[in-house]
Amino acid sequence: MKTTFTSLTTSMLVAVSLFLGLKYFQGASELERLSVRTAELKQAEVTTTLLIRNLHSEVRDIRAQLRQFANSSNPVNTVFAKADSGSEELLQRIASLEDSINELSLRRSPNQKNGDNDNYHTLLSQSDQQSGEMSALNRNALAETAFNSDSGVPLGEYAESVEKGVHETASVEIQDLECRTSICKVTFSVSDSSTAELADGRSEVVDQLISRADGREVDIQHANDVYGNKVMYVQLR
Amino acid sequence: MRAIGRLLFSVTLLAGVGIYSGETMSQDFTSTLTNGYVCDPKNPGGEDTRLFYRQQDGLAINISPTASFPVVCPVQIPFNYAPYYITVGVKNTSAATTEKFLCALEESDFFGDPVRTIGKSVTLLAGDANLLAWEAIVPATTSNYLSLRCILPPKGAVTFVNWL
Repeated sequence: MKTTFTSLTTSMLVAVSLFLGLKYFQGASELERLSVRTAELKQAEVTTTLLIRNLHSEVRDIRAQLRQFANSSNPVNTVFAKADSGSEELLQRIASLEDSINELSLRRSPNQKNGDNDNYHTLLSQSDQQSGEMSALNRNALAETAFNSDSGVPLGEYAESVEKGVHETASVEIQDLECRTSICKVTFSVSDSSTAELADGRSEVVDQLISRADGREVDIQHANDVYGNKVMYVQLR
Repeated sequence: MRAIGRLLFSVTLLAGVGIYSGETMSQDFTSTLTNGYVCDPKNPGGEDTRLFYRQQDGLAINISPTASFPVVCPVQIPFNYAPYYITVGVKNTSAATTEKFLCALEESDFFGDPVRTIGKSVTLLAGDANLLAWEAIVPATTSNYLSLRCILPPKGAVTFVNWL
């Protein structure tokens, strides 16, 4: 009985040892595989980061060229408002580059969480690159390109609703309103004398536009034009 | 014999727990679902808001039978994980009237300026609930951020906010 018990115990211990040994080697192999994969991901991250940095640099250069071109060709700097063929080409190039940057950003590994330092440096670099006003102007340039291409979902009767909606908003002064087949451009200013209740004129316009869309999705891009007016580009999705 | 049995059971249990934990930890939890309490009045001092806004039963609710007012809800997105999926649940708690809900997903930039608004609306019969969803949202830059703004109609409520 004792011998049987001892041999049974030994067998069990051998089995457990074999099981644990097998798991150890599997773990080591998995660890090695993960190390290689981590190295590959790090390399890919470095390459992607460099690509994004180069693209950012190219975008900055083109913007500088655009500003230089605007200053040399027109003293009132209206290049963003009315793009001619040269600046149009540059704007399209900027849009294309920014699409590439976004695509590259999306392709970054979702498992590769950016640490606080990365976030901080990204935010800092963006604040270095341009002021808020410049940022709004750049958005305006891109939105103007979309406005000129006019290739979205047709507005149909909604264009009339946009006109009625913005004109019924008390807290903003409409400077200009132009609707094309698929996009409306609303240029407006918010009066400084607005009371507290009317201070958020932009939201009031937006609510009017959403309310009149009959459940359809309304996509509004916000920007400032070169004269400092607020601009909304309204489309249906 | 019992001791060996207990040992084997313990080893098996630990191995099982270890494998389960490993699988659980490897999943990427980035989706968040929270109730209407996450929202707040857009104009906290406004008379209608002061009188009729409540946070009760998990809802952000307008208890007025006649007044409407806006609420804002934060959307916490993981940095640089676009595209994002945002959903807000709305409910018409009225027993008698049909109400229209407007919600806008708002993107702002590093400087706090509005960049883009995507608006949606839904009309709900008395007692109905529904959701509004924004799919595959990619902010213009990685430092841009999102928030929701909804107009609560009479007896209207936000039930939940979900972001992924």
